Amino acid sequence: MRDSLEGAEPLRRELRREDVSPAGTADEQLIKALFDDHAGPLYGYVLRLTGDTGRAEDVVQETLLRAWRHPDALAGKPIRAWLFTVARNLVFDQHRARRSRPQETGDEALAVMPADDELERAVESWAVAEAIAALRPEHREVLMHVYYQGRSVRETSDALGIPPGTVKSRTYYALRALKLALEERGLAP
Amino acid sequence: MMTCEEVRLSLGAHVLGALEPDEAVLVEAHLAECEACAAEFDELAGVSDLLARVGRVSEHDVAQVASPPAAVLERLLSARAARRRRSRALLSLAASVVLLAGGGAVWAVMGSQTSTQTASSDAPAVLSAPSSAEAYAHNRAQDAESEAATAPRDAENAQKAFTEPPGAGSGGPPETAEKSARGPQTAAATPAPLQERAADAAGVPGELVRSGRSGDVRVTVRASPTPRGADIAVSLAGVAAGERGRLIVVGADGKSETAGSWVVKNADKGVYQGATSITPESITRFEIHGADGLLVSVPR
Repeated sequence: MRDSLEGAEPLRRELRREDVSPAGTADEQLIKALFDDHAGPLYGYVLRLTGDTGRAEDVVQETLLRAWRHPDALAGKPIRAWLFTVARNLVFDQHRARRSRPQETGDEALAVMPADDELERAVESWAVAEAIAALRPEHREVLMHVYYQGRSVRETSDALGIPPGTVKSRTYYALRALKLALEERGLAP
Repeated sequence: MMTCEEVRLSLGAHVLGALEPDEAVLVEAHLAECEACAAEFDELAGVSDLLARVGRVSEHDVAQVASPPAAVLERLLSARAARRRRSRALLSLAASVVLLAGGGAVWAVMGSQTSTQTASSDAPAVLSAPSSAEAYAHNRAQDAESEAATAPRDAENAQKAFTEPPGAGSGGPPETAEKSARGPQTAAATPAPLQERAADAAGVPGELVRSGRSGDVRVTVRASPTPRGADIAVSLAGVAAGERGRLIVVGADGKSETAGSWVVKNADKGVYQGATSITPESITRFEIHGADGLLVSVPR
């Protein structure tokens, strides 16, 4: 699974505890880098799992904290898949605790966990959301109308109050920009 | 007849099926004759296929991705800052302990409780888990003290090994895989009577993890190498609250050291930290003593 996810790996930062200066500034930068690089997709994913913003925030915080504390665990691995797995397990651990079951040995937990290819798909689909989020607002806007809402050029033109020619050109440039953004994230279309 | 430029600008909408039928016909006619435009169409079709494959991404999703809650970043940064403050406090505490002990085994007693609830923590915010934060700060203090850039030993590791049942590791498959790939498992030695493997004994190289049981008393000891010898974490259950406990480490040359003592806070589970000058590889036995003598002996 990891090998196949290698391609979906977004920009990876070096995580090294040795870099930590006495003042802790490197620590702080590392945390910020982890947050900037991954918090968005991770939060989207976890929010989908929990349906609760407060819990999603807690899980994202804990997951990133673990990544920060485990630079070794992340070395040479697809960090996004690692983060998603840890977050998913935290969500299901909470779920088990919520039902106040005694500590379980995993069978039931495994049953409710998505298979690895589902995790792989989640990583990929949140990378796509991330790529879309990276588009310029006017490009993102027409793409959401034309692709995700299935509107025609004319309908989009009416909805947004812009000429049909502008809808067409923005759709074209949006797809070109998206292609680049996806390639940057290792998702070669 | 459409020009290449007109066709190009319409290709995005065409790939997504958003052109009016009459214009789509014109574009198709051009593509049938123009290789360059057809190649461009294929590239954009690849993007469209990928979008179709990953399924629907809503505007809400995109908005979440674009602006994750800033509060999380603030909490992460303050969690880090809190740890640093704490580790400085522990550092000075450790220094005073050394003075008192006259340079003997450093012994910072961390009578932190680790309830079983922590393992399947309902609220995973790390700061709300005292045992985790304390033990982590302790390790950080020791790291700073020895200035050794060793493999990260942290509360999470300790906590995993000591409080989580097998299979409930919230770190998940990647961590487990990573641990088992770390090298020789120190706990793979021949099991002795009363000895059981820790739930998550696969550790960092050089680390010694052993568990033992006698009657109700269950203990797991983890010795992590340091430049001075070993840092030791003891997870103890089944000793009545209020009772004084003591860990004695016996080395290969017969030398034994009291690695520390503590007052049991919680009979269900307590984690205590300490240190010894005996290195993990030369440890032959751990002994937990209570008020009335030996409670459990854990051979290597």
